[in-house]
Amino acid sequence: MAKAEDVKVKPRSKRAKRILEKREPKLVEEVKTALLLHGNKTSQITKDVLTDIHKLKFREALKLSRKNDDMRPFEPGGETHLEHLARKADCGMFVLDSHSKKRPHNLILGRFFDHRLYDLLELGVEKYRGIREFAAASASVQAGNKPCFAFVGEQFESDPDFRQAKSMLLDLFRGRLVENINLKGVDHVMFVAALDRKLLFRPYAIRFKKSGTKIPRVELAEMGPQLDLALRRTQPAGPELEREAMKRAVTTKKKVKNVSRDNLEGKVGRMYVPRQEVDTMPLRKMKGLKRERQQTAAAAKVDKKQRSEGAPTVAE
Amino acid sequence: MGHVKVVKSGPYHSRYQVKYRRRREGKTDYRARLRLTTQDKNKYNTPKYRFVVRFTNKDVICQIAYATVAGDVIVASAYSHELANYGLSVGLTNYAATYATGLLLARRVLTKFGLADTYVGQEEATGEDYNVEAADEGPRPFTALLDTGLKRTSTGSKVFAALKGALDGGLDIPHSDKRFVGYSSEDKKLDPEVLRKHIMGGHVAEYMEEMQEEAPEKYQTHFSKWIEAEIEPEDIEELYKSVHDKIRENPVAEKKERTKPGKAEKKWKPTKLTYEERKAALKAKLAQLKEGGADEDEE
Repeated sequence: MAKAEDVKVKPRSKRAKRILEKREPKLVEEVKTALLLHGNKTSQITKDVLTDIHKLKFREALKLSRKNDDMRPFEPGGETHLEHLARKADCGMFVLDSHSKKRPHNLILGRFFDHRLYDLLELGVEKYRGIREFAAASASVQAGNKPCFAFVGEQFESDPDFRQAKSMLLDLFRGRLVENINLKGVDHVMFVAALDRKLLFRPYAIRFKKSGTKIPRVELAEMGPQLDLALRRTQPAGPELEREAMKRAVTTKKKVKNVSRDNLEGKVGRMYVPRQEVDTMPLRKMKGLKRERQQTAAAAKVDKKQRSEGAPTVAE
Repeated sequence: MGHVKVVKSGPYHSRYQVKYRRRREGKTDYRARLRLTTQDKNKYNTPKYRFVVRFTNKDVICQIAYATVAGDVIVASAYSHELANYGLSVGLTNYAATYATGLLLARRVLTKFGLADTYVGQEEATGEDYNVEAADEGPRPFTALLDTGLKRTSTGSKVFAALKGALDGGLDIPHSDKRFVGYSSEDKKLDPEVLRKHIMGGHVAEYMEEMQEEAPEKYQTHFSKWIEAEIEPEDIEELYKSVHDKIRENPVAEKKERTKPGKAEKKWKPTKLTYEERKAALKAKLAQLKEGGADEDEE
């Protein structure tokens, strides 16, 4: 049975149509908007973490204020409401916080593909210091700027859980897609280190100081949020869904041969001309081109050469 | 009471998300704010400055701000109450004062960034629309975007007086002349004379004169501060001109020296007296009583 949401919605107004068109799959997807929401029970710490993530994400996040008691994405059927909300707000990923005796200060990060839950990662906040505590440094970081990333630890290459965590953190914080950036705008770096089964999340503000040379002296100052995150449950994407998600549309156009651009001449075409056999070509006959004449001319040439050299003719 | 249709039912309330705090308080237009603070994709992360204009009952506030992760940072600010330092002590929320505040801020920012000599702006207020042109050499003009907040942006609004002041001061703010006072929607043209008159406080002078003639008694109370400051209607234009000149001379805000609060903490309980002090106090009290008693005897 198809769910009501699976049926394609028909827009009833021009505006709705435009909005739906914007949400259609694209060749290069835009940055994923993050849905930030609370679980059934939350702690002040996890709530503050969500607020800080919202600050870092600036525009590409939607923070909901309500508690949600029916969101247990790790359990079968527990993702329905989550998927519904993500579809409504057109969000590509979510961060859900909760707090229980078994899993205190819990954060669940997850991604969607085609409005279906793709993968999940559960993190426990063990230590937290907010952006507000590092106000001096974080005030030098402009809202909406793209960060640098530094992942330290070989687990990020070897351990599948850490690999997933890295990919998710990149997706969460990478910001808008741009072709170029200004050096001055590179004002913070997300530093993440792997230690045992923990992630140490430490964003730093970058400051360019005068160095006397053209290249500035770079200084780092911690900007918050400072987080020690324990890796808890993970759920990688199902193989079928992953295959579907990784599929790329074939877009390579058929190669146009023999056409190039030249700065001076503009569009330049190259043409193939078969080798021309002048001898057999049915051209208007010219006396000079006749075969017998050519042969006699060649013979005469040889003759003349021999004569000028002398000896052979005398001997004859 | 008849039947009332339930518009907002249980399910509505159980799903309701409260708005952001500043939205609930009616202080921030988030739609505008996001658009004013998000840098374009093709600007490669350079800061986006806002020229913020706000009004209170007694003051005009102009600021240059940009958004950071920790909150907005104010690069420079100017208040109309500062105009007292430049010789204007009354009428601090009118069109002319707002213009002067915008001008003060523009000169202040440019001085701060060392652009004041490159971009002098329009030194005499003519009321004509003015746009800064980038100098052939050296840095480009300082660009900011007008942030009007929740104020209605109707033609003739004082927000645009501040804008005009900042433009004449040499800031580059994208705008059109459509909202300045003196723009006629019929001819689709700006009358620079009208704008100049408002910048120079001509409309105030006119009103003063009118009231002096028609209701001299009301004039005494209505313009009491102006009378105190000994400003006559005919001096007003000169006054504003001198204010503009003084702003251009030295726009830098005076740095107030910060006074440290007293070391001693404020105590709410009276301090206890020592034994000697108590003894002395008792003696004094007794002596007083004795005197008082003597007085009573005499009576």
